[in-house]
Amino acid sequence: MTPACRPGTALVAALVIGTAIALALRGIAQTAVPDAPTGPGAPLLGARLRVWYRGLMRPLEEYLVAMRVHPDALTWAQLGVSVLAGVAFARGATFLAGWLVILAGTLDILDGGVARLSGISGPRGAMVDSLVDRYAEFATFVGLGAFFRDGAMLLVVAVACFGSLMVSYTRARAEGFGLEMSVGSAQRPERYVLLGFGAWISGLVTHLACPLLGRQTHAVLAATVAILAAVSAWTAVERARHVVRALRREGTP
Amino acid sequence: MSADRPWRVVGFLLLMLGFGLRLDTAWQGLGWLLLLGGAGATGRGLWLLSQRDVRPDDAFVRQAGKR
Repeated sequence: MTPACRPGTALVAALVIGTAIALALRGIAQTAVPDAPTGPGAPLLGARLRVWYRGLMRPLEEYLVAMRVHPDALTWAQLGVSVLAGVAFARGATFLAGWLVILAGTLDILDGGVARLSGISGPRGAMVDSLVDRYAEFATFVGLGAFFRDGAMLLVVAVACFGSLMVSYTRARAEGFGLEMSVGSAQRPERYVLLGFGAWISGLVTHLACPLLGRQTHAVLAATVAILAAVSAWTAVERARHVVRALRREGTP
Repeated sequence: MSADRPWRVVGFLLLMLGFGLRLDTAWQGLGWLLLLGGAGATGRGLWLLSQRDVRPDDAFVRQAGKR
């Protein structure tokens, strides 16, 4: 689908994104952080970054509450955006897909925030949110699979998809046993950021390197998916070990 | 919400969508339109920010005690 090499546009996009990231880093550095988990099992994205992003989203959440936007609408919008991201991946529009993945991740954060601010958060909303999240993730991975359908990378995409679903499944089973499950290096925000930024960078590299290589390369996207597969699988194992140890401590057979 | 913040958020959103369409699709006209709209919205947001009496940090993080 990519019409041509566009290194000039990619360079300008890289400058805009670089400036936004530099300004964001300044904001993150100035964010005060309460006690946060560290060490093995702590999320890869630090508490400072999470607190900063929540602070950034807070005015938007307040605005959405004032506009009487129902959290479910945001949840379904997240599914729609994720399907679009999958379509974009399938058609090789990696920059666009990366942006849509980031947007879907933002909507995923917003729906919970709006529900809490509106005072209507509850088990029904949490259930709908969890189910839609799984479909949304799957839709994105189907698109990635379609893009890499002709090579061994398809297997890596399948592993990444399975790993991501296992991370959530392990948590659901643990909570079914009444265990708190906050450990995990690559939880959903980390996966959104990894895939979204990886696809962004891949899209930029594709166009910037195109004049030098004489063709388009998707090596960065392939590396991103491989890393995503590895960290997702590792996180599922981390969580499984945590649950087994906790159950053993409780004397459960 | 301060007046400048929505402009910057919408501007960045439009810019990224515009870049995405320019880089990855044949919809070049719509891509340009979004880029122009995004640049205008971002510029307006930054101009409004410069008119406010704020510390630079406030552009990204709300300071304690301010609402």
